[in-house]
Amino acid sequence: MKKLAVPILLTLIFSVALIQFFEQVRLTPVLASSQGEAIDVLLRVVLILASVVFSLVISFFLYSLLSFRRRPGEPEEGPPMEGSTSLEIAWTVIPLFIVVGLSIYSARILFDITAPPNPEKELEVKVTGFQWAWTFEYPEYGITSPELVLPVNRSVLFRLHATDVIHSFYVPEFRLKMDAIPGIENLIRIRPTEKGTYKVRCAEMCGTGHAYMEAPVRVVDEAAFQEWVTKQAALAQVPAMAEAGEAAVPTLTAVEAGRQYAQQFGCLACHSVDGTRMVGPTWKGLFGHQVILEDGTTVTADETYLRNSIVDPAAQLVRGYPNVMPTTYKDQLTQEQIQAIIEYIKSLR
Amino acid sequence: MDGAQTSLLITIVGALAGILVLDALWVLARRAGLNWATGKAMVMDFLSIGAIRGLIIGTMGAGGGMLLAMGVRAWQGRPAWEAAPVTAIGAIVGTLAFLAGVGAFRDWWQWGMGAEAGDPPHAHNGLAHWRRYFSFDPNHKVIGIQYTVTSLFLILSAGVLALLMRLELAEPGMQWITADSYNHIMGVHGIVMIAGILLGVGGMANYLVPLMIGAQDMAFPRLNALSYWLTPPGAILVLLSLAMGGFSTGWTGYPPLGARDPLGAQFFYLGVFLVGLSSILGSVNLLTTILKMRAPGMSLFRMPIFVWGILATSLIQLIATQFIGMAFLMVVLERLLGIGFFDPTRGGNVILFQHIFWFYSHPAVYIFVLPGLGVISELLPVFTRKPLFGYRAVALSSMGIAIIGFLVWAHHMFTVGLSNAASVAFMFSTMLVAVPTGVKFFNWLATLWEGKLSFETPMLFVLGAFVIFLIGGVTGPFLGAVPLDLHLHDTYFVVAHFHHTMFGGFVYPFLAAIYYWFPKATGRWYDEKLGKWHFWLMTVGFLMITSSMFRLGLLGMRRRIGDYDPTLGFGPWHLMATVGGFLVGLAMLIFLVNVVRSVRVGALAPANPWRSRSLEWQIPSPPPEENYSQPPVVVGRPYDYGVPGSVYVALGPAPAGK
Repeated sequence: MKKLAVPILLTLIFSVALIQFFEQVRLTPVLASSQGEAIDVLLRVVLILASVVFSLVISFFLYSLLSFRRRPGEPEEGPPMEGSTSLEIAWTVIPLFIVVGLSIYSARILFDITAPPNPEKELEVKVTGFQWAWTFEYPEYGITSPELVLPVNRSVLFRLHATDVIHSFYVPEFRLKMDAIPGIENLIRIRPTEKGTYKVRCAEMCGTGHAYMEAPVRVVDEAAFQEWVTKQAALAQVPAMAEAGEAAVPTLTAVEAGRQYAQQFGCLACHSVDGTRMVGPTWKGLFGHQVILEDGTTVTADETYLRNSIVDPAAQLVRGYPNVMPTTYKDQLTQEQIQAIIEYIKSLR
Repeated sequence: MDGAQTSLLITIVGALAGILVLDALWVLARRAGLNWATGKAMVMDFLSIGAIRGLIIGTMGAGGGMLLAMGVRAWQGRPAWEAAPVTAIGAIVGTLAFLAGVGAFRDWWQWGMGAEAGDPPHAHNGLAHWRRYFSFDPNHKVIGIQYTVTSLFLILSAGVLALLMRLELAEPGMQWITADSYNHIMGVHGIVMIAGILLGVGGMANYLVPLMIGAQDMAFPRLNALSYWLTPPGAILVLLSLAMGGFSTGWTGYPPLGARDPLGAQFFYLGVFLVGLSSILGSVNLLTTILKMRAPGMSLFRMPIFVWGILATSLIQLIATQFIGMAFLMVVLERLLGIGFFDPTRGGNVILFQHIFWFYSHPAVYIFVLPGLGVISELLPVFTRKPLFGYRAVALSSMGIAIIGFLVWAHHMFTVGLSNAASVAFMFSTMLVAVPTGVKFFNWLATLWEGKLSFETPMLFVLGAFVIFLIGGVTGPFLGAVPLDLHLHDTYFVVAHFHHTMFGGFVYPFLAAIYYWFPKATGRWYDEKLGKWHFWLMTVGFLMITSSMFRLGLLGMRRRIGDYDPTLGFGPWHLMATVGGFLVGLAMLIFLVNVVRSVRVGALAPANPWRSRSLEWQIPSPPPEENYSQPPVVVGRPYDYGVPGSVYVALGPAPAGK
């Protein structure tokens, strides 16, 4: 029994030290959702359990290594302990109770964080992931945006879709992720609790641009959200106004509309506007300059070239860049939208 | 550009491997007493080696298969050349031709023709007859070495790929390779490691099981050799994928991405299929051998505990492997014939693939770790000089893990949109794995208790495995608890947890096994000092990698990305992981030097240097061609260290000549 005292004491010391350590260190990013609060509590519970189990095993382990080493002059063989049925039962049954308890506790949290709010009306956002960008549609307001803007303290139901391969909607500050899968609609419910700017980061391998498949998230107060909605709704009218030949609101130029489209359709996931090298060639200073193609020829980046590159990206591939741009834009974009994007590219001197 | 880099990479890895092989060949040739006068004869000899013949005939077969496919297409009035179907036929015909060239079908063919094929050639013994290791040889000890060396080659190659990834990740931004190259290297690292681990398991099982149970060989020696020789074409196809545009899905191969990837993906799927086939055939052989060929008196509960691990692993391999084969074959059919199994626009279901895939690939991790845990249980009694505490519980816990392992697959899929009820069910089954795994840990602790411990290199790796697997174990419930997994899934936390289970459950025990049975297989000692350097460098390096990965994962660092947001401040942690990675690389280099040197010039080892009670140590080292001149008789329990007068085995008369 005396031999047991030391490792048991060690277990206590290690447990307290480890738990204290994890309390002191900031382990997770900023917490910004009510679901995340529950998940962080669960994290602490599991950390404490894991710390105690680890300390128990490692204390007996270290104590054995230190005190049962083979010393010269001792008998060659150890005592023939074959086993003990009561010990086997103990260390089968006790862990069983721990893991069943942990599972029940986790299950309760899962049902809590996925339950719909009652009677509050949820904001619905349809999220579409495609290689390699996100768009966010607010059906209530008729808005589609490349940026996810959410009112604080209101439950949001995300309907996740994907058009090509599997993506995963993940905002580390919200602590939740859910896959966006072609042919399936997945739901996830989040109540943002902390104003700030975050990012959606795609968490399921989706090809070349996966690392850069991010979209900005802004959590704002209700008033700012309503203001944003109004502005976006107006912006959604731009193409119609342009078609009708009306003079738009002064800020809503064709260049501005092109910038919006470039974001909305994911162009900026691969093309930088500040000269940074990304998956595709930068747009900065592109218009009117010479471009070296894969076959060694040069071409001037005029309007025709830009239009061709949008509708048939593989035809005139720029040297040094992979042939990964989707060929679906000729169906996705109207002529007016393409023209607006070209105007935007022209403006990036 | 991408292709150029990958071919450069293949060239470097290939050149390194070539140098090693040439060096080994040179030494072996010298030891076989060859000189320049006999050199010419040796070249002729060389061409008669199975592997060389297989490669030549296999290449011709691949070309012939492609011509055949093009001929059929032309005859059908279609354009003769289309890369995907033509190369697929080429790969299949090439594999069969390789096997025929190696000589895998020779005896069966002769039997089929009504002739007596006679016994397999059993003329040689020991390392001097190096040609055996490059030929179709049915002796289980030769096959065990073949598996082990191939496994080390694959693991080291995949390790080089890991270092390339770590180099790229050391700071944010893309510095060394493109985003595509990163993805391709990441996928090949994963699948080649998995193939390497499967082959490592095969190596240990083939070499040790017949020796440990007192059998002359495996139940089906020719099938055994065929299982091994299926793996080189598999490995070649997977490595070729890098040159064929790569695959960007990672080793999991999820469609639709995998169905849209370039030609490289097809090579990857076909290569894995071959390795899987090898794995199934190997498990049939091992199950039969263990169940039917034990020495008289060796009841199941008198088997060495390592054999229990192999028994459990083989059961999983036999039952589960077909599922990954089927999943990958379905993607290949989707790619080649347009059958939309997993394509929602053609009535398929994307998630179906993941269910089939994980039905193998989760139990697969127990295929990897159960033999390793068996090594830990096998070696602990020897180095503590005590019986294995709770032998029956340890043996049955392996079976428990194997069975529960079949019920947990969807815990890899908590974010695909399972119903809450399904998630909770899979959470319960997942958490249950902790119980039999815990039983192993507690019995190991009780085995250490009051023992007479000594700390030679094999024991160090066993103890290292204990700690590393323990950390892998206690980080499991973080991922098993569904709500927490919604945060941690697909982050570095998973990567760190997984590598802890693989290093603790396979890599460390595998290395312990290589050091421990090195005197058995070669009759020589490894260098103890280099062994200790290997252990400490590797352990420090590995813990540097994973501690930063756990940290990054909790902070939300996604896995499988070659570049990360510089504003998150992840840089220093990644740098630490990269330094740790290169420490592990250095340690493995020391290991390689140790092994290659010790095979040639290591001090001669006595027959039973560890004073083990196990059967394989009661005969000379290296073991004679036929293992036991007379079947040994088992009369007691295997681990009765310290029990006065206890006897495990009664051997017949010593083999002649020794």
